[in-house]
Amino acid sequence: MTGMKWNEVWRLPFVGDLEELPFKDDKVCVVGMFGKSQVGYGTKSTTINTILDREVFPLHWPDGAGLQSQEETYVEAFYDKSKNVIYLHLVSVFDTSMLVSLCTNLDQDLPYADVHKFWRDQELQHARGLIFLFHVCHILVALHPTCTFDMSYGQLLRTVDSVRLKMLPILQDVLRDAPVGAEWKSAGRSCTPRLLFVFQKSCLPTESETRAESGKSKGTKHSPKKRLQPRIEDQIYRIFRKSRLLTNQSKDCLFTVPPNQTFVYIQSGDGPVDAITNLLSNLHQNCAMGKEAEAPASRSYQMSRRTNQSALMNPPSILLPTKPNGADDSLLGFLWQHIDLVLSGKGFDDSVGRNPQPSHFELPSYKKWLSVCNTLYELLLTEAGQHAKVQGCLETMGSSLDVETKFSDSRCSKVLPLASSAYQNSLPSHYTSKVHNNQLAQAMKVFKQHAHGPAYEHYVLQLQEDCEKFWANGRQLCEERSLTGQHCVHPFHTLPKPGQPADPEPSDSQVVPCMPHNSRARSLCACNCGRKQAQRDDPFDVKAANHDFFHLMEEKCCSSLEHISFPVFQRQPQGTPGEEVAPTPEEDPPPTFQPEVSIKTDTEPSKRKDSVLSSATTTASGGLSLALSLGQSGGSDMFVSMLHADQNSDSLAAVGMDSMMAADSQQQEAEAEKTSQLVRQPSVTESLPGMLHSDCPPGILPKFSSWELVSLGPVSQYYPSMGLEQPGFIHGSNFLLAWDIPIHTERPQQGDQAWPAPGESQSVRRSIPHGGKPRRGAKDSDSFVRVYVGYEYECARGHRFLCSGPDKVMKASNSGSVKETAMKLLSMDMPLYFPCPCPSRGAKPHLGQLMRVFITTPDPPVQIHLHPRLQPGPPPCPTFYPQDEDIPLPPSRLWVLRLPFVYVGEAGVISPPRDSQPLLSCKVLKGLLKATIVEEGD
Amino acid sequence: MSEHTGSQSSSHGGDRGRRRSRRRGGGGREGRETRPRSREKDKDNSASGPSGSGPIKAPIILAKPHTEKNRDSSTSGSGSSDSKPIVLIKPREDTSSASSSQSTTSGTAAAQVAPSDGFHGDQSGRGQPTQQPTYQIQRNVSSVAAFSESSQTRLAPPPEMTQPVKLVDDSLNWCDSGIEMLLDQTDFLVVGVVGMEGVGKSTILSLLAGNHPEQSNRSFVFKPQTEETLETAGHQTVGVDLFVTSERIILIDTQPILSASVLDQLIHNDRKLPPEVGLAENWAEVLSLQLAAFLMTVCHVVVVVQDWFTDINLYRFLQTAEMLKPPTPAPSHDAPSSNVSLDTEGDYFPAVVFVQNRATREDFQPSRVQAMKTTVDRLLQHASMRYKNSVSMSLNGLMPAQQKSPSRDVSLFLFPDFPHKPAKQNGKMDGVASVLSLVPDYQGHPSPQALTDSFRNQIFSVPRTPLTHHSLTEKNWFHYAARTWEGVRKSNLMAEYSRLLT
Repeated sequence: MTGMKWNEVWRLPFVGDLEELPFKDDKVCVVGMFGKSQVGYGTKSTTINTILDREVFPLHWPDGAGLQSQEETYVEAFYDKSKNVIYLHLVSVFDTSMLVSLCTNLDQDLPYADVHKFWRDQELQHARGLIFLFHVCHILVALHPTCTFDMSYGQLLRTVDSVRLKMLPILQDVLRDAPVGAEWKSAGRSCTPRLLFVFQKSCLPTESETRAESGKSKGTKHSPKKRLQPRIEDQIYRIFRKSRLLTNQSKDCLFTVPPNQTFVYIQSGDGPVDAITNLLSNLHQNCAMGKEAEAPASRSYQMSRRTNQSALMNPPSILLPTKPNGADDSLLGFLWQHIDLVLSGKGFDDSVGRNPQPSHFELPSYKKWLSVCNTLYELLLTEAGQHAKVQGCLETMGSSLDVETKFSDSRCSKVLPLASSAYQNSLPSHYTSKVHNNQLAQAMKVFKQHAHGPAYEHYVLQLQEDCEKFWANGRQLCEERSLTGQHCVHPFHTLPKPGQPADPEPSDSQVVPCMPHNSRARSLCACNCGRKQAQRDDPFDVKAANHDFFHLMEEKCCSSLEHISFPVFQRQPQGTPGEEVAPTPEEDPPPTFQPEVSIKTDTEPSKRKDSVLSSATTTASGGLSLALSLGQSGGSDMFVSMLHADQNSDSLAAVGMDSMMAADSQQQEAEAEKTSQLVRQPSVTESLPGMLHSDCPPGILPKFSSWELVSLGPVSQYYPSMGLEQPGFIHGSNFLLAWDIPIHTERPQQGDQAWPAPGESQSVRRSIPHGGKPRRGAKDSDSFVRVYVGYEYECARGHRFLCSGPDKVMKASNSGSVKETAMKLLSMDMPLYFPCPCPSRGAKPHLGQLMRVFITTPDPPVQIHLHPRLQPGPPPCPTFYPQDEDIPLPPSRLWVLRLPFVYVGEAGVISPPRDSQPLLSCKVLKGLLKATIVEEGD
Repeated sequence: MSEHTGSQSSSHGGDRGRRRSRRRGGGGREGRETRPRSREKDKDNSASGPSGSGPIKAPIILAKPHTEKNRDSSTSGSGSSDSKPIVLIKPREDTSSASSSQSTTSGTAAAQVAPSDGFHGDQSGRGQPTQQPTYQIQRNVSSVAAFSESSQTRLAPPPEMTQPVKLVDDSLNWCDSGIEMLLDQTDFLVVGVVGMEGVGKSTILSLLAGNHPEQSNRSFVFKPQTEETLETAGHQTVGVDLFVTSERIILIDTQPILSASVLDQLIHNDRKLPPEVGLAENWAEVLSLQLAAFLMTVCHVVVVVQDWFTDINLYRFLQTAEMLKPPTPAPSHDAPSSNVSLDTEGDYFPAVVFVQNRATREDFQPSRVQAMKTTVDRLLQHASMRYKNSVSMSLNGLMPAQQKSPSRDVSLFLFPDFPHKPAKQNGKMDGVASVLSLVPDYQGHPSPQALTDSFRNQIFSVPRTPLTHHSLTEKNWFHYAARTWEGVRKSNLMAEYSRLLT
């Protein structure tokens, strides 16, 4: 009790020693104040202070000043010992200052349901405060800023009443040991409290105005306020009677209203007035009237509030208390008639009807009241001392106050099945995520149209979950697309592990079937050499597309033919364990490491640097040791060069240290440069999962070759008059085109078309230039070597045809004579895809894809080199090639270069051109074939 | 854009023709009539109609397509049977004529509610508007002869209104007389007002309608509470009132929401209550929600008036009304594809403007205004209504000190308690009036006239978001509003909600 002064406002609960309390044996009347209020001078405190005639309760400001707590509902109390009245003031979210500070601190990102719950919890706290007040007070005053009865009190008080009745047993239990009378203990309260209404502002015109008008028209004996008051009382009484809040027996009611006393009070016309306005108007009047203005000597707080229009010298906060007159029509007078009944011990007799039951009444002492008050406060307003039953009651109260959530819940749960069925409407047995998302959006739309309110978000999540579950529960389609863009037709499944058989029927243990992908699309495709056609499944991985099928076909057809293999990754037997075994065809020779590779890349420094940095970081540690092991296994080149590199870097570092403190970075760069030469050797640790193309890190070989180069046999196999005798060719377009290579030794004078001089190095190669020359030269057949070239396109239905130019399918006459030459093939980029002349059902023709290049090689000295470079899409598409270097073709044979079936770059499959794209956006770069004359001396 | 509208109108044209011929066939009167002839007849009738041939049936039926021509496709798909209008006309006529005669006793009103409710109960909301024109024109001819002339001739100036007409009467039935004030043009703005008892709804709307704040209350378009009403704690505006300004602003005044006075009257006329609603209190709340939901559906701007800051229940109420608002009718299936974008936007929500009436000098402090805005913003942060960026105090130099928050500004406007001001000075300070006039009183807020002008300008320039998926003319809007009102009154959502009230 030391800290608490009796003449100040304190916040409940009371802390301190009840025994040491001054005035502890005073009989007290308890008045509870609740209701809505504005900020500043509109706070409820202003009205209470008017009753007290002193500034006791702090005013509340929008910034939270004056509030004892900015977050939670609280009750502040003051004991007016001069009149033995305790004032309790409930401050809650209905006070604007509290509302404003709650709003300011409210997290902006909370979902609707949470925000809604937050406010409903605040209102629940207020309702709990009311339950408390209705148990500990004799008189309750509902304050309201304007002159209308707030209809929302009806529902609120009904809820409070029903909860009060539910909680009565608990209260009786708690109050068993309280120092109060038996009736109090059984009823849970000292009496049935009276509820009074005070309106802080009159809606009526100000008195001066009325006077001015009524003076002219009529002189009624009551002021408008006096007429309004009973009308509002009647209204309130009717409404409360109608909703059964008021019944004949006051004992059973939550509260009563006096039948023969006023219970509505309307404060002066202009409502609360702030000090500054007062001062301003005073100043104004002083200026206007000068000395004539008489300064009033002293005014009471109450008077200064009410007669704000009169000339006032002192601000209203300066108070000179006067003894209020309890009988006039002041607010205290209004209140006093009720307080008087309490303090005199008579109690209220507010029952109406024929057989009124006596209502109990007990006037407690200050001390007794405080102990009961503390007990109830702990029970009702704190979380700590809460009974499980109280908790239950409060929960029901919360839910009955929150109609919106109840409504929204029932609404949403009603609409949910509707939305679900909208989702399930006309769904196929299995479908993709795209279909799923579309249907889900449809369902959401249905849901959104009919479901509203705070529960909406929760149910949206549930709807999503339901639909996902519905989909995932055996309706999911495998989303895998084949490399040609077809969906896998199976329901969601797992892929069989290598060696494990496919299991299309899910066994008991596994829900998801296990099988390879299948799009059901099949295409007819010829083997490497082109002599056999077979159906192939739509490939789902590169290896199946470009290698496996053809490898399978080899066994049936072309395995006996002569092959030239392209370099592929080969696993070293000493490799780190655990790495996958690279399936390389057995007949593939080990890759030939050519030292000039690294030299060649030196000409493109920026690119090299990039690769150096990346490879240096990734393979630095492992690479060295493996290189060493490689060296042991016979790769002496590499071993040597590595040693060399080490020495180099050492020496370089030493030099740097000695001479000019070379920067670290420089050293590292130098070191990296050396390492790069190592890395440029085909890596033995890393392999390319897909295809070799210009964006691949250099030096890494693919696991398998997507290309194939086979020989169909000697040149004599091909009869120019018959064309290629292979299945699937469209009639008349199976003739290879002639390419005449001039070989006469006469020194050419034609500038750029010069042959290499014999003295020049063998590395100088010239391709046969395009232009009119060969045709001109064709007159002299002796000086030409004729070879035959064919670019073969194959469509998905197995139709094959040769093209004579980027825009033309070759066509032989009926007799089998071919007029076209290979000129365009050699001198221009050729499209990778070309519409197949086969009849197609739709408007869109099938696209034939360049699959094979046929070439007959002449006898020496003319040598044909292959330099295949494919760009299967518009830039920045990389170029694809089987190996870095040109491929020299052995003479006098008919060679077939089989091209990849699909092209997979780093960003995925590079698909055929769409309708809008020109055919030539996917092309074979010119210069695929080169003819050189090898000097016989070499 | 233009080609879309072109195709729209052409498709509607076809639809219209189909519908018209169908109905005429059903009427059996001139089933074999060809189209050009019928059009001539239309003209004839429109010319002869006002001359007082009320009781004759034939012109009524012929005049019907005339109004319907402009109804657009909002009523498309309404293939109502033709036998219905005849049944319909009678109870409707009774109700409205009784209400227009202003002599409705509570007993007869109660009796009238029952038949009209019954007839609406067995009928879909869609079908209704097709029948209404029939009845309206009949009324037009018989009772409101003054306006009929101007409403029939296209080029005549719109009728000048001096006082509002009832849209919804005291027994909550729709009144059709308002359509006389409306034209066949699409450039209009609907402003509704909602608020608790005595906050100044009618005053604010009167200011929008062109009244000056200095004028006496009696000359206001929408009558504020008279002293008598004030003294009896009653409410002035009953039902819903409509007023159309010469700027083609449609103003809708409503009775107070959550009002003890309305509730008191409901209790008084207990028998009028539908049996399924339990407590009168709940019925009053549902009624308030119906009014608010109605306004939120048919208004471009809903002005929410308060006279103190602030009752948290009001924001809760607004959100509940928004939750119970009838869904915006989906575009009909034959609507052109240009409306697809609107379709995805979903429901319509009005712009909501908060007006703080009777604001004190303190309320005009910029920090106070900012606190109010923050509070409104947080309370409504999950509401779909557009409560931002419509109206601002920072425009027109009303609050020079205020920081301009450019984008997300809560639509809040403050009016001081001005109507009493001049009376006070003239009444009390007679003796010193001459001296006082030299020293102007400090107000702490902009002048009432400046505030009113700014408020009007800002409200009138609120973007007019289309209310429905079809563009509406004023008359179409009226039918749409009538349908909405009936829909709201019989809404399942409302019934469901009222069942939850304890």
